[in-house]
Amino acid sequence: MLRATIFFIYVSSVASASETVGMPQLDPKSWVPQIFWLIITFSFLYIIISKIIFPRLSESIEQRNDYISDLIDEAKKLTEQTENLNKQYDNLIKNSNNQAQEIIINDRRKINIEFNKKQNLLNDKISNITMKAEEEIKNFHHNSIGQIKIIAKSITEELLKELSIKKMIDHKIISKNIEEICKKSIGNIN
Amino acid sequence: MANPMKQFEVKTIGPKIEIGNFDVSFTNSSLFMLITVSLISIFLIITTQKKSLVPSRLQLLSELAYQFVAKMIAETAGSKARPFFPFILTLFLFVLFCNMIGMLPYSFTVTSHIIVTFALATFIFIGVTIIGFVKHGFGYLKLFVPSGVPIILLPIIVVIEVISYLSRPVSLSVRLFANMMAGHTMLKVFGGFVISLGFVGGWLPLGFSVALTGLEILVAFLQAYVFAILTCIYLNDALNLHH
Repeated sequence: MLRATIFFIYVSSVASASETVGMPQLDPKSWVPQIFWLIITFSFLYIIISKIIFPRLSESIEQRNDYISDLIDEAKKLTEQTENLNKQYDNLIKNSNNQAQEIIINDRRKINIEFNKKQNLLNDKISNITMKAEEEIKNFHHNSIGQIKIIAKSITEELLKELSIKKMIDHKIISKNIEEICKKSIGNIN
Repeated sequence: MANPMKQFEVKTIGPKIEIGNFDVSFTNSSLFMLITVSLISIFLIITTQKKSLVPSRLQLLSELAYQFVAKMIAETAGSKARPFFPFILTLFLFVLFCNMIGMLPYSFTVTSHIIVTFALATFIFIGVTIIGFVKHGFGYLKLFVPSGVPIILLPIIVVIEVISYLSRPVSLSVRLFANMMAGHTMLKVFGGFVISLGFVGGWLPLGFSVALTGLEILVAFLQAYVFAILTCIYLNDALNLHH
């Protein structure tokens, strides 16, 4: 407001004071050349801007925008891909965990079966061996008495020899006595 | 004290040129139009020579101007006004540079002449009117009939609308011209005070002068912006009929 007031006071004072100048803007003589040169210069500038500057600027700006949007698109794609890969990875881990679990369970079962089979086999073998051993023991038990008799007979004979009672060595009597002793002791044992 | 209106005088430079009966001599006004246009052209051509993906500082300057105008058009007139982009950019840069070059001491302000701004405004007015009629036919006249107005009021409203439409070139041109002339006159007045008050009392008007110069630079930019944005708004009326 202040600006406008100062201006108008001044313009009115100037207009009244100096008749020579007044407002040069209102002198019609200067209008035609101004319009003429305005048309020339403005058209020249318009042609330069619309033919040279505008295509250049819009091209470079659009190129940049395209480049940026391309990069953004690529980034989006890549994130999607990584998400997919992550999912696949998770799935793979889950699947392999499940598979491993299955394998463990199956193998445990197989091992158990195998183990049981082998245990049974071993048990059979062990029982066979024990049976054989028992038979052997029994046989040995049977045979041992005869052996003991022979050993006892030979020991007695040897004793009697040592005692130099050679004439007293009567095989029949010795055998008879041993037989009796055996009978008594084995009868006690049995 | 020197007459502050003397700075607006148009003086012929060189020989008198006549086309038909019209005197189209080269004047100081023409000289500054030429200087303005050459400056803009050289500036824009140099700064846009290298189209690098990452712009240099100079390239950024012209891109700044481009994007400033592009945003202005997009916000007021929308995408339909895109073909008129070079014109708006030319208009904005021309007015801006004329105003700014006018701020230099001893220079001439082209836009401080009513005939220049009026020629521009009239061209815009006629152009916008033609675009409106080409786009909408006689439907463009609906512009003068705002929707939702009671029928009794319509005759008055239509008359007011027509008057306001017809006064567009006047308001557009006088706004720019008056602002420029007022600012430069004031600067000259305060400059005159500095001289007449001398070394003792001249400091105060000198301070005013400095402050006013800052203000005038702001006004120079603002008026160029207003001129361009009003053109966009008028263009918007012609392109997208809202009423």
